[in-house]
Amino acid sequence: MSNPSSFPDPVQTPAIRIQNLTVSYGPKPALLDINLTIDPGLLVGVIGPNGSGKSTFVKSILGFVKRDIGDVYIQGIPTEKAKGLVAYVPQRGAVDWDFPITVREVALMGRYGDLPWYRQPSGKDHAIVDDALEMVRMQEFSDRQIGQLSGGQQQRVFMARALAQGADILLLDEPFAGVDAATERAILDVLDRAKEAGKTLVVVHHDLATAAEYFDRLVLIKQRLYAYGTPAEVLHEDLLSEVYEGRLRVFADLVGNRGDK
Amino acid sequence: MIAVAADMERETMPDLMDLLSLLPKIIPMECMESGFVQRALFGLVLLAPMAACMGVQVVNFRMAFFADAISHSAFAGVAIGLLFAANPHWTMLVLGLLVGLSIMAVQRRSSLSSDTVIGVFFSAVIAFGLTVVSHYKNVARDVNQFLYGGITTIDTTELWELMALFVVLMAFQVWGYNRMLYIGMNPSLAQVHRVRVAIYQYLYAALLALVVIFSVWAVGVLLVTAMLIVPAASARNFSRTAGGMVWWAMAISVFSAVAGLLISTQPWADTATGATVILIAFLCFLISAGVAYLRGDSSR
Repeated sequence: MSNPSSFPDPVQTPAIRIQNLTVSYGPKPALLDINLTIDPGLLVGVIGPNGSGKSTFVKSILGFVKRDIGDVYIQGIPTEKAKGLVAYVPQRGAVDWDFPITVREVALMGRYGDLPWYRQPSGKDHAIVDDALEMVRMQEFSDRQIGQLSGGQQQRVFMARALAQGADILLLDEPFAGVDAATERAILDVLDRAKEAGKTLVVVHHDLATAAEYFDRLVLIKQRLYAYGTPAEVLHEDLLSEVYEGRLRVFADLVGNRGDK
Repeated sequence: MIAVAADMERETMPDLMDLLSLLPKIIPMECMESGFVQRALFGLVLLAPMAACMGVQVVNFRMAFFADAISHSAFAGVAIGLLFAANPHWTMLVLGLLVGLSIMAVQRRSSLSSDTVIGVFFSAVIAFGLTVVSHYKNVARDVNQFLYGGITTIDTTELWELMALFVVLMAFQVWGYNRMLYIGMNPSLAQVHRVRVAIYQYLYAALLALVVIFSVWAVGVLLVTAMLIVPAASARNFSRTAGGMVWWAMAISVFSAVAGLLISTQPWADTATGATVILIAFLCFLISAGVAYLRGDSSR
């Protein structure tokens, strides 16, 4: 289930290691006994039906939610102490797009965590921001207010912020929600570039139809971890129908046709 | 009695009086000769930029209601002053601070939406103030000053307090500005990024509470929110970036304060200073809205 044997260099510290993770809101567990190791340099999709705990899963990696039991390690460091090692790209809905701030200023925020409170960003910080904006192909929009961008561009601004932070692990919450096909391509292109630069990306994703094509590995969650592996391993019809409880007849064909990457 | 107090202050704080006596030379108008106009002008010139830059954050972080609740806590502050026969200025400050920090604390922990939390505190402090004030009969003067403000009654001690607050607040703005912007845009993002969100939020709430209470003295509770919001709203029309907004807001705020005070003290006007200041600020807002319209910002 975890640690697919096909991946090279097993001596590396895992990017993310989760042990016996259980999180509950009130009496009902949102996540139950999750065990998972994600190796560095992978583009990982997190899939599962609505309310299956995908967001909670991401928040646990960030150290945001109180765990009942279990541990989460980021590059071998407990997540509470690993702040700054993980960068987070929020859902577009979680951002106030009227906020009077430019693309460049948002990306520059990625540097604030490393600056002591009495210091202003230096020339080096600005150079890092330039690189980050270049990577997501947003340099030409540097001085735009963030509300004046398209959905995909908005997503990329926050990608740039995450990259400027210098973290090796990026968590993205539904970056493909509500964008058109061309934009989806553009975002995916940025994800691939980040992966080539050695980043580990964990992406909450809602569209099973594209999951196999986009990601190296898939995490299938509904409270419990149902599967972690290559898309071919995870997108099994019986597994999916168990998790999605028959709501997914449409995807039956699709699973048959796709799957090895 | 008042004259004696004024004399004492003159002895203990000579520098400030010298500074104030320079004002008529800078603004050569007849009204500037009188001491209370000098003090009022100095007080407003200190308070206006503070209100302006805190106001920019109030607008950007959508915290107008928060400021409103603190300003109304001043009413309960007056009441506590009455109850314990303490100086109402101090009880107002302390209570304002307490209410600001409490709202922030509850808001951070509670699952209720922030306007609900604020509404609860808001009504509590008003109810408390009304209960106490209704019991005492001879408090019309205090309540009046609470409602309409009285910047022209400001004394040199309060000016010193304002100067101290000015230094602390500007230091906070200079060094905390970037992180406050970060937190304002997205607190959880800032949190992931090891920005100490809680410290900044509490500091901001405390400073905002102090500025709000001083503004209550200046323009009265009815107009405090205007003092924070109107310059910032105008500035948002003039500028697209958060940084530009701060400078515009400060300029508009100081201009309205000075112009409003000078007009209100003219014999032909003889109006309430606070209200006049806010009216001038509103005129600036109208101009800014016109500029934004002409520039074609309506899509924003």
